[in-house]
Amino acid sequence: MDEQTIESTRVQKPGSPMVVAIAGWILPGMGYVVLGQTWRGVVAGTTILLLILMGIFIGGIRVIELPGFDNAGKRVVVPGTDQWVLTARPVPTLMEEIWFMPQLLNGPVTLLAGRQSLALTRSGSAMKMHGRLDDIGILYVAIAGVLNLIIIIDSAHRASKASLSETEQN
Amino acid sequence: MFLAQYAFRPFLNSPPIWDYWLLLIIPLCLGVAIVYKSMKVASPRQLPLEAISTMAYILGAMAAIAAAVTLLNAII
Repeated sequence: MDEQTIESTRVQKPGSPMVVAIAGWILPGMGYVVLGQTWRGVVAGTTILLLILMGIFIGGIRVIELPGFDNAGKRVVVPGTDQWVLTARPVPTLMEEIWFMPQLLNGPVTLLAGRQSLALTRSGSAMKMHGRLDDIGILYVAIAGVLNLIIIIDSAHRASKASLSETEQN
Repeated sequence: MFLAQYAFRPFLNSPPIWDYWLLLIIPLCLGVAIVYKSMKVASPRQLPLEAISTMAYILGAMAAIAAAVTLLNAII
């Protein structure tokens, strides 16, 4: 048994992989905390939240843009109808804001930032930045989301191993 | 008036770091290395050294790829 396995066995509480995965999506790193691996969750979660914060600092709040809204923050509707494009044509609308998909992996924090971005856009306080810094800001938040997906998968895998070993013991 | 809207306001508009954008790769690589190594290491004590060495590997590999692509571009 290697050092990592010994450490995992010592601190791991059994938990449903689904519960652990959902906890990890709700707040980055929370999946590990549910498993009893607090330091791992705090380090990974804090780093991911800092990356999101840095992305917003570098590119401005509008690096997170909710799909289905125009540059003034108004709902885009299908021409000739009252239907919102996001509900009428979800796939093409999401493809136009493709970076929002990895950003969404950060969980509700992205939705809250997106809501704030929309509110500031509507009030005219936040301008859309263009150029490299905007791209880099978008990339920071998207990479934070992908990293969160990786730790969600890892924590859910650890949870399934823990519940499997508990079943074997019984 | 129009230009004032693009002036630096924290978290609303970009800071004036256009000339140093390449350096922004360093904190990103550090973040990736910390999250990756936090999954792998058994003890938090191992984390700082492991994360810094992983960051160095990532930056070194990217610099090597950039050099190779620049060379290829010069040759072709």
